Amino acid sequence: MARFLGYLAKRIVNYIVMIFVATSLTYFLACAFMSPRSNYESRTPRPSQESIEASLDKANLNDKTPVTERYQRWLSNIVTDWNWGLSPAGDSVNNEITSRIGASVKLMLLSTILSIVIGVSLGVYTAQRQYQWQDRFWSGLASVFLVIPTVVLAILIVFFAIEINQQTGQRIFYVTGLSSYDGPNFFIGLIDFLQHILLPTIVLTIISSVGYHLNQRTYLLDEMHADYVRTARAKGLTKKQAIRKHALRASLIPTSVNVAFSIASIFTGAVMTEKIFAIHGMGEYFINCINNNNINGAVAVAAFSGACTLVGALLADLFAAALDPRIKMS
Amino acid sequence: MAENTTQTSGAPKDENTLGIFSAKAAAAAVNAQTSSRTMWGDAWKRLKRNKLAVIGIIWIGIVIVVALTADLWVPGTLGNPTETDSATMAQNSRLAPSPDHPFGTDTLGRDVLCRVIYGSRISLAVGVLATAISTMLGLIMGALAAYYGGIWDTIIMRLADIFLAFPYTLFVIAMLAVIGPGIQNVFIAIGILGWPSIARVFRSAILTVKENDYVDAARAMGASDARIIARHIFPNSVAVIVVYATMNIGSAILTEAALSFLGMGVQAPNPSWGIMIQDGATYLATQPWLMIMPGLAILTTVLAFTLLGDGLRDALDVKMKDA
Repeated sequence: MARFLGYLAKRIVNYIVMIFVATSLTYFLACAFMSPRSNYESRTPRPSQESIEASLDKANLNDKTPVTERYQRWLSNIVTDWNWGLSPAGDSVNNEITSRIGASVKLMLLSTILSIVIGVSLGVYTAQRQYQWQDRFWSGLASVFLVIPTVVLAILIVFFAIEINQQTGQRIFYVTGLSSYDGPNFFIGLIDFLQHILLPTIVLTIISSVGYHLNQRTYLLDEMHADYVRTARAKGLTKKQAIRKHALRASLIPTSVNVAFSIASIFTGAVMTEKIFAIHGMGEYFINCINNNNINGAVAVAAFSGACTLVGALLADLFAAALDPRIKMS
Repeated sequence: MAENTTQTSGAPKDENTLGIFSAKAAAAAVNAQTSSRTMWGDAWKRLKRNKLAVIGIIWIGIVIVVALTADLWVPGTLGNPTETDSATMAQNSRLAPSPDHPFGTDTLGRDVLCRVIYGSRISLAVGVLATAISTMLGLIMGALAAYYGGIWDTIIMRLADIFLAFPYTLFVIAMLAVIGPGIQNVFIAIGILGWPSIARVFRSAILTVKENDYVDAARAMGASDARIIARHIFPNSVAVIVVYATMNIGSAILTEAALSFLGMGVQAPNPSWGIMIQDGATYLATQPWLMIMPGLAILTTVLAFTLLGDGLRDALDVKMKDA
């Protein structure tokens, strides 16, 4: 156990270093290519030179300061005060992120969990019925969802939701934002939240469960034909028992590795869904940052997505360790 | 040579029989030919027996032919994809599908079918060129990492991990914000940032091939690194690359559509499928063809590349586990 904790600690340190390097790289790249100065210079009337310099200095965005010096100041603010800096307009990045992070985390968490559960179950279900009609039906459906543009899927779902609302004469589904109730009643608030988040979650879950489904199917099929499963059958286990006790476990190991990398793609999907459902989340903020030369904001979003991947990667490691005895031993 | 002769002599006949007779008859027809001994000849035979892959090939073929010949017949029959005529714009706006306009017209009175056809040029160009760029970069990086190992391997693979850990589309958006939107920049950005996955695939393929005795034998005979990679390792891992690149074309097309939808990719009035979806989304309830038609175009084209990729994977017997 101690050895395993050591292994885990090593992985955590590894990931944190990776995120630190990646975020720092993003900072330098953003500084090299984004020009907050142009935000001020393009204003009419053009502000005086002194006031431009003063505003840029205040936000630590002045390109006349050497980039290493800006980086040091940026980093020390984060380390000492957890202060991610200011936008070119002087707004605090922390405030923006705090108001947006909840929406993104809820959306991504819900759809990640749902897509893993649904995708893996479908993969297991279809693998056991290879080439039967259930397998053909679900795999065919998965191929369509794999290639349908997220936007088209989302807009079609919105369209049907509005149709249902109109048919029933009630607002069952909300297609914009994440809440429209401010009252004190917790249950009304919860139901209101669910009505809002249901559609974007469905969209994200569909597009990300497809990968789990198809991969899990392939992995389980590979394992089902392995010698050790045949041995188990020869010892008198039924096909179901052999799969559940032996093949399933082995086939879940590569799936758990996939979890880590799928977080990044779920974040990308979240950008599109946030745009379509008018949710003010991190993805929308990132696009705003890029368009407004908001270096500090863009880097903060990059760090956030890195942190999401870290959580995913750690979960993947834990799953893999729980499933694969070799990891605990070595 | 062998693969060429198989293709030219056998292909047309078999494609016909596949459609009319049973799969058994088609398989018999394949077996009746002189058997091919090259890897590609065998793969082509297996591919032809895969109905879905054949459908994919046919659809890709149709799209390519239509895209390439569009200038010859589209302007005369369907009009110009970008120009608008302010005199007739109001009366031609958002017409329902009819014999004159099979896919209807858009808000500015342009024929939707015409725009979908010209949109296929953008999508194919982005898909193929972006894939070419990322495959080249990925091959170089993967070869450096796998062949030289050690510090090269660590640096390149860590870099690839970092790229894979961050949302790819956001990287592309950021890069486009810097180099500016527009069709060239779209495929440059998608291409340059797409290298890590193919580098990983190629690296693991090389690591497997490198262990073989014939690589040692070649080195013992004094072959240079470049020669070993080009003459021995590359041909033995090319199957993986072909499968991967085919799949990648589809995903590059999807990325382009997503970027154009967000307004970061190809710019109006160019007829990108992503832009058409964005334009049409507003009118989904009243004039659904504005969004459905370009949506179907993306769906079928990407599906065709995926089916072909799947077929190639089975035909070439490639394991995609570490992809």
